[in-house]
Amino acid sequence: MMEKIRCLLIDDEAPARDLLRHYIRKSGLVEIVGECSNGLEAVRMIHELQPDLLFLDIQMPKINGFEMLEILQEKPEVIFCTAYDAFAIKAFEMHAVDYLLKPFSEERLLEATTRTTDRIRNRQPSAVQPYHKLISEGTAQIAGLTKLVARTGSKITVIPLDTIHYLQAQDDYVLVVSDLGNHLKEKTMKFYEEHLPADTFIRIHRSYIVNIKQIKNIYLFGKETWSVVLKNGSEIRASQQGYKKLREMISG
Amino acid sequence: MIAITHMMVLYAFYNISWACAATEAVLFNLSFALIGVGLWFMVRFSDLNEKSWPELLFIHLSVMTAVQLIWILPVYGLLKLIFREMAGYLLFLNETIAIRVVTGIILYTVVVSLAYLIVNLKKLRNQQLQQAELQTLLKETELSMLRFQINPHFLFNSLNSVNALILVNPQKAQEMVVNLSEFMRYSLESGSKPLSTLERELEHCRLYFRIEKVRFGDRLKVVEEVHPELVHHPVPAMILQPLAENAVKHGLSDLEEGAEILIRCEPSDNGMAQISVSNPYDPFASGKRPGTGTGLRNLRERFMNLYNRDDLITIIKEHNWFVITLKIPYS
Repeated sequence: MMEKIRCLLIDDEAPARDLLRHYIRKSGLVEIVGECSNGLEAVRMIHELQPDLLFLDIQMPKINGFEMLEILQEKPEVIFCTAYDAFAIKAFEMHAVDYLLKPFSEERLLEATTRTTDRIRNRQPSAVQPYHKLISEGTAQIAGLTKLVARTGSKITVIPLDTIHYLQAQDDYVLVVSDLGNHLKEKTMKFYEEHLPADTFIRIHRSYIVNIKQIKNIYLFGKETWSVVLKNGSEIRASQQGYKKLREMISG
Repeated sequence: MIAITHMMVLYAFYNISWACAATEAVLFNLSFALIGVGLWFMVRFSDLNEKSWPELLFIHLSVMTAVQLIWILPVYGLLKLIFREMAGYLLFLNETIAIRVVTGIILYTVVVSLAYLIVNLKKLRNQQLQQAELQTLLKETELSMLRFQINPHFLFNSLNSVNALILVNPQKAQEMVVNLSEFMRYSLESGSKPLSTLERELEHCRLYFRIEKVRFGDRLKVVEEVHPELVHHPVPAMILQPLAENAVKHGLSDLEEGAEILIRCEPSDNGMAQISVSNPYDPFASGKRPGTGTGLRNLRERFMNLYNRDDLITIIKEHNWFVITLKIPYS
């Protein structure tokens, strides 16, 4: 007998979960192994239950659906649910990801579920590949990048932007240094340069983006190199070009 | 007056008899007055303004020649007939024909220019009036656009809840549909009724909370403290609900355990009503508060348009509470 595909429902609104549960149970297409109402809880449950498929609402308390996906190491298949989000819908279409627009019909749900379960059974590479791009775009666009969510082992940390001192390039990662410690993010400096608020975060060096609110003073360090001293005492480098940008920001 | 001047000049400088001078003055000026009226109508009702310069020049030259002919010739004929016995005067008439033609040209130019001036002034005034009207219309449209701001997210999520309730609790689903309809009706009506009362605004807010309660359950709590004197205070429509929505969005969405939203209305100085909406928020989870943007900016713009003041809205963030206070002048 074919093994049942196991799914997890993630939505902060109880009526929305009621509806999903009702339709899914009726269809018998997949087995519901759990339900949760926010992103942090979802990360724990995914880790514990290892579901094959998520029904995921995007707008949720604490961390949104995209941010939640971002910190998962093993990403299950996802059927996104959203009520209204012009950007998300465009992105779903572009990346050929399955999604449900609330309120949705039973047929629409069956259609999306069947397509996804088929893909899981046939072990098709599916949406998981384009997914990465969708997630980072989604995180930045929908949440407007107001916080970073990092994961160290099983611990999830939400880092508010004000607490960040600086970001440093480290090979394929970016090191985020904040009041909450050091965290590695699997992203590029370019991504952060583009998506962090430009009035606070400035790329001052090939390897550094600084939060200008954390700067204590700046001095000439060597030929065309400047040293930026932060309030917590750490020092980072700024290139001639970066120094110029900084000076414009601070004086203007 | 022109006729009298005309007569005096003739009498004084050319030594013409009173009778001749008077007759000539009356005939010449009266006839030109008639022609002048004709010219006025020509300028006023023809589309001369839309013609090109060469065309315009041609038209005016021909009309001017015609005017000279129909003005000077008949009057001359008549004068010669009336005073056919007075040789001196007839001679004078013949000698002054060039002066009369020149006068005719000058008069024509003056009358036509005056007519153009008046017509254009009128047009300008009309244009200004239309522009002012357009501006008012634009402002009104803008205001009604700002007022009518049902959040699509809210609408679709509510419809999704209705969809779910039909299965698990049909009676509650019916209740929800009625609440949603009433909510929508008030929002739509605010387009044509820009002024409401505090009571109606509060009622609209309660509807909103009742709908959201279905979605959020016990996480949403609302406390109202309203000074009874204020219920009939006139307030702009659709100002309270956006604040309530803001409080739900930011107070509730980041606080898992839920939040208590406090709405307080009390009298303030100068007969103003002071309305404040407070909600707790989790500064840690949100970092910066996203989205406070549109709703509040909208409100600020409306207040600027309505009262021309920017000191009526204040925002305080203190001890993890977010408080928006509005002051509404009595109008």
